[in-house]
Amino acid sequence: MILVKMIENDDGLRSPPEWAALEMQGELETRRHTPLENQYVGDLFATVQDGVPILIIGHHILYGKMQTFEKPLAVMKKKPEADEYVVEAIVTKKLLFKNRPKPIIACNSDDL
Amino acid sequence: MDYLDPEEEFEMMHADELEMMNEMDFNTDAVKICSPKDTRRSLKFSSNERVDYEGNFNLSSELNGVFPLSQTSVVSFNLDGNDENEAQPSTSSSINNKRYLDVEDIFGNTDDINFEDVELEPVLKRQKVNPLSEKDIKQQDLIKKIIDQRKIFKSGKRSNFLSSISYNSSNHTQPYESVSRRVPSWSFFPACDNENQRVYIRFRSADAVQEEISSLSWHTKSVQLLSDPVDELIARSYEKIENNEGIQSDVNQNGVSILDNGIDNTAELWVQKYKPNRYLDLLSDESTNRMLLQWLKIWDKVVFNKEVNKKRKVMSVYEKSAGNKFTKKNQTLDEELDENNCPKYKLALLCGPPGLGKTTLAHLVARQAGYNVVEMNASDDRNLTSFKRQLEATTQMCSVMSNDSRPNCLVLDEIDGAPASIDFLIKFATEKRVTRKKKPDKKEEKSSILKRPIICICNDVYVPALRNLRQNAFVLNFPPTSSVRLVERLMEISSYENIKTDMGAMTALGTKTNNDIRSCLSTLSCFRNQSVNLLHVKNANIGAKDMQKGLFSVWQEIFQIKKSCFENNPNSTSDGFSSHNNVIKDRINSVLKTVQSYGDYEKLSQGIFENYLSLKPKDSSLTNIAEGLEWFCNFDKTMHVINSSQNYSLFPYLPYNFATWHCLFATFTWPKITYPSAGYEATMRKNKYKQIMDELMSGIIPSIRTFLHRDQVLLDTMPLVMHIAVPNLRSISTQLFTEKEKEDLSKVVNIMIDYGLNYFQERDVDGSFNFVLNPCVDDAVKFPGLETFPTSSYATKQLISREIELENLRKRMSHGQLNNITVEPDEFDENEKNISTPKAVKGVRNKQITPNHLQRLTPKIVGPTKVTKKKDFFGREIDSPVGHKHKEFRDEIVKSDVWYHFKEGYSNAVRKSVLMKDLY
Repeated sequence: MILVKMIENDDGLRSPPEWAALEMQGELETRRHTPLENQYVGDLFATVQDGVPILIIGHHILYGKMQTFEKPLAVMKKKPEADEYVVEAIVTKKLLFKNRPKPIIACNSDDL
Repeated sequence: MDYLDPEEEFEMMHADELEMMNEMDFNTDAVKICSPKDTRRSLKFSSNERVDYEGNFNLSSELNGVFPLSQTSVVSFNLDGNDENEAQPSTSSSINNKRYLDVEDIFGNTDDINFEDVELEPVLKRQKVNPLSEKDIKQQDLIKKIIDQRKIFKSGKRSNFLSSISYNSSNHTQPYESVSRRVPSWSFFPACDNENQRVYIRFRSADAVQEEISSLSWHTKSVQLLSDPVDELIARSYEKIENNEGIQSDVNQNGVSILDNGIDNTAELWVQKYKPNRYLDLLSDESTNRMLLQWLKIWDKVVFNKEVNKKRKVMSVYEKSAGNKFTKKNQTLDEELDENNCPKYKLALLCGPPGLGKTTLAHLVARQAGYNVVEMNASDDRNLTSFKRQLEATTQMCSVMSNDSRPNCLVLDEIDGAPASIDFLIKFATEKRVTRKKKPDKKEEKSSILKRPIICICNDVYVPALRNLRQNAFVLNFPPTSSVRLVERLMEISSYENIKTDMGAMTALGTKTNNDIRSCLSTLSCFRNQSVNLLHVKNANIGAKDMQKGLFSVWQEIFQIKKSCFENNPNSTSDGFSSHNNVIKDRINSVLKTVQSYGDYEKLSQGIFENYLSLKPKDSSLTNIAEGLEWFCNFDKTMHVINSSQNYSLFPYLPYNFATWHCLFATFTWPKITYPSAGYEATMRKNKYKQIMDELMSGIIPSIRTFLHRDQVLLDTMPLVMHIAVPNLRSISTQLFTEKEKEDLSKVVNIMIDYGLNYFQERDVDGSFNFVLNPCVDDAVKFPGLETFPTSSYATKQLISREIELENLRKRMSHGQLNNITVEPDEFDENEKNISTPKAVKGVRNKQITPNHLQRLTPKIVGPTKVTKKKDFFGREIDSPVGHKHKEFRDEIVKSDVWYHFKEGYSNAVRKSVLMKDLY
């Protein structure tokens, strides 16, 4: 049983930042088999009209959609040498990319 | 018509014959100048008889037509006529008395004093009796002129000719005279010439003549290709001309030609004339006839609405007595009726060789059973629609207009000629039953059931087209007509037609035509108003139609000497040598005949060429074989000329090749003949190799091809290339090769590229992989006598193949033919090497080795493409400022290290809940 104790911050009770989860049908891999940590993965956009999330990884472009979790998740961080957790962020939404990615071909008019 | 009892008939026949015999004693007009050969033949009683009545019989029949004269008066007339033929009456009777006398000896060279001189008189005589029309007189004048001309021509020419070539006339009259005007010292026979002056003709013994002839025959060559020597043929042709003149003189005498007489009778063909009109007249096998009739009777229920007579015990008894177990088994008739009261088999299929009377039987039996016969010859209505229409018309309708209200029975003759209609027929006969079962209340369906019997007739029941029909029809195999009955009938007919003949001749006719009634009758009709004997039948060129032998039996005849050749020859007893000659002549003749009737000389010669060496050799020195080979050459040359110039006048000479081969190779042992396949195989191989060469020639790079001729490549270059293209390499990584090895490899690769060769991976039958040369020249240049080409190991071939491919790519690249967008493997390789660790290099090797079926589909890794400077036509670089930006942009995209590996499918199946504690 985890006891949740609300600790006030300096500026009073403040809601933690809201993050979004990224769900992808697939894996991220590196070409040189280097670990993914601290690597630049890609750019996330959203279309202006519908807010459709767009993820560009390498030469792939992925179109996804926004979903809300039925139960929101919290991202917690354990404090060292104490049994305390700090909620880093709340996740209520996820960006789901389950369609096959489309390749981006650099269309160079000279090449054709 | 009613036929007489055999006994009565026999008597009648004999009465005729006796009469004829009587006549013969007096009658002498028909003696003709014969060559010695013919006279020898005429020693046989029967042929002598023929000679005698040939003319006489015509006379008598004509006279009977013109005036009501009795036979005796004919004889007297003949005698009158013969008085003018001075020497003959007495001589010919002497021939009859003394059979061994040679006509030649009696007459010597008396050709000139015959006939021609006498011809005009009888004409005049006839004119008195029977005044001729002007036209006839004109004709006769013409004929007279022709004869005169001919006489002049002949007297000059023939005497030289005959004396020069024929040994019989000139040679043996030289030692002693045969004819004398004075009373000679030798034994003689007195006669008169045309001026009624005495002539003495020499008697000589038959033995002496025989001796002389045989002594002469030593000089003639032992084996000749023609059945008779040329001089004999010439002599015979003269004789024939004379005979014709004789006939003409007959014509002149009677004013009515024999030919006219013949035409009168031909108004009706004998086959039609003597067609059996009743069931009992049928000649064909009794049980077969019965069976068909019985089958037709089963239809009575549905067609005539009569009960079928159920008692069939008599039949079965009959079958037992008929004896033939095999036919009985096949031909038992299923008498069950189906629900429509139709017989189980709605079709009957009569099959058997031609001329047995199948069509006649079908017609007759159908008529007997009360049907109106409608015959459809498959050769009339070939297309399906007309067949369909006709079939429906005949089976479902009935003639309304005519008062003939009998139901139709369809007879489909030569059903094997129309395969398309067979299927329809079967469907028509069988399928309707099935559809009717499904919908019993539909009236239309009901009306279309086949309710009339259909009889199909074919020659060979085992033709593939008839396979379906065979299963759905009541098959009746026609056994050959019994020769006894056939001969009986033939005798009957010939007695009706006043043909003099005997049992032996008719039997021979029957066997010659394979008991084909039609053929027998048509042959007989050729002999109308003449006598027929064994010799006629044997010589007649009949019955050979549709009697073509199979390929193998022809070959066998060529390779095997028939034993019967020796037994059959009656004259063989006299003299060993001449008998041998005769036998060979017979053999050659029969081979010629068979080969000619087969016709496909090329195939036959192939069969001989492939089989003659496997036969038992006749002599150890193999001269036969050498000679035979020369004849093969001859055959080939002739064939070549025929085919290339399309000059078929040489065609008749081809069969003589077979005759010589027969003489050279034939033995008594049974030859084991195999079907010739070498020719076919060789052509197939030639085509295959030609194709390979074509492929090779088109693959060779043009700069080399210009200096090569096709044959050069095949004969000179390629065998050497086969040796060169096998470098001595160790099976280790390319990097570890020594300089020499590398050089070797590149040399080989270059050569192979130059000749457009490459190795291709191929899977063997047992599943192992192998690299084969493509185009597979090694097969084509594998000439016999060459040492086998060295082959390199699998790994080497693989290496070479890869190197060739790389080299090709490199070349193409350097030619600037490669497009920028396409992935350049060369680059790709480098790329991988750059990027990756040694493991990656190994991967490249591995990738090459993994066979196709083991290779996995992996996403294509797109490395950064090399920026090639664009060049214009002349090779100068073109600056494209716009392009740079794009390229940079593109590089940026692609350069990122992280890439997205999309996984297809659903992840539901592999989802599982992960507890927090598991994470720590």
